[in-house]
Amino acid sequence: MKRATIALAAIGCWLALALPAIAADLNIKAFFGKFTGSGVAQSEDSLYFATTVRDTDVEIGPTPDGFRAAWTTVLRQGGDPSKPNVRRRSTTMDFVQQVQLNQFKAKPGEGIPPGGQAWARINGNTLTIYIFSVDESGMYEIQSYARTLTGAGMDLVFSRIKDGEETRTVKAKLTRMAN
Amino acid sequence: MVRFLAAFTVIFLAWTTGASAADIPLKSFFGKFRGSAVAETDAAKKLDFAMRDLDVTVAPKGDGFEISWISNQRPIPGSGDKVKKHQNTVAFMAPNENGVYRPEQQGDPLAGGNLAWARIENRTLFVHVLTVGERGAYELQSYARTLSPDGNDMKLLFTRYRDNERVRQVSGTLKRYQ
Repeated sequence: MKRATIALAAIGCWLALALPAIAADLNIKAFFGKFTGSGVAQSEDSLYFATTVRDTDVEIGPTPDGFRAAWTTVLRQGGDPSKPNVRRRSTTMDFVQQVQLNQFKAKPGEGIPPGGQAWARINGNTLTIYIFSVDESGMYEIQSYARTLTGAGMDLVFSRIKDGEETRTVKAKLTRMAN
Repeated sequence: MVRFLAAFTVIFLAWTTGASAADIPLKSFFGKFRGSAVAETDAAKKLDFAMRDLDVTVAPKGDGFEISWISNQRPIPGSGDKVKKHQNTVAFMAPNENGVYRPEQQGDPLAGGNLAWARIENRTLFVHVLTVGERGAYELQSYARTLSPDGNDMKLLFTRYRDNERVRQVSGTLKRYQ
C-alpha cells in the first residue's frame, strides 16, 4: 500500500513536470499600475558602437471601455560619453476591449502613424502592444512592446522590424511602483 | 557656359532619379509562370524541407493588376499525405504617386480581414499581406518575385513572419509559359 502511494505520488510529480503549463491569460486588471526601470537597446549599429542605456516607465490604467497605456523612455546617446545627450520620448495610447477577452484595438490618436494599425493582446502573463505602419513608399514597420509580469514587476522586450529586418531591440526590467 | 549648365543638369537629374528609373514597369510582370520551390520551416528549430509546385498569373486589371498564385505542396515521400493545394487571388488598384498598390477594399486585420499592398523595386514585385489571428498574434506574408533580365524567369522568395519570428521561407524559380 505504501509503495502504491509512493508510486502514485511519483507519477503525479512526473505529470506536473512533464505536462506543459496551460496558463490562462491574465485579466487586463493584473497589468494596472506604474512600473519603472531601465534596460539596454541593441540596434544594427550596436556591433560597432556601444549599446545604449534607457530608462523607461509605463503606467497602465482602466478606461470605460478598455485601458490606457502611457510610457516614457529616456535615452542617453551620443555626445560626451561622461555626459551623453539625453532625449525623452512619451507615448499615450487608449485601447478598446474587443469581443475576445484578450484583445484590444487602439483608438485613433497619437502613437499611430497615418494609415497605421495598433492593437494589444494578452497571452498568458504578457501584454503585447503592436504598432504597424506602411510608409508612403510601401516599406512596412512593426513595433512590438511585450510586457511580461514577473514576481518583482515587469520585463519589457521592445522590437522594431523594418521590411523584414529587425533593426532594434530593447530589453528592460521594471519594478512596480504603485497601483 | 549654357552648355555646361545643361550638361550638369542632365547629369544631376540622371543621378537623382536613378533609383526610380531602375524600377521596371508593371507590364513586365504580366504573364503566366510555373515552377517549383523548396520550403524551409524554422518552427521547433528543425529544418523541414518540402517541395512545392507553383503557378503564378499576373494580369492587368484597370490601372492596376490582379495576381493569382497556386501552390501544390508535395507530400513527404512515404508519409501517406496528399498534395496540399493553396490558392490566392488579390487585385490591386492603380498605384499612388510613390508606386504603392493597394486593393480596392482594404481589409481590417483586427476584424479577420487582410491588409495587403504591393510595390515594385528594381526588377522585384513585392506583395505583402498582414493578418491578425484569433489570439491577436500577427502574421505577415511577403512575396518577392524577381524577373530575370529577359523576363522569362521569375525568382520567388516567400517569407512568413509570425509575431516577430520568421516561421517559413520558400524559394524557387518559375519559367514563363505564357
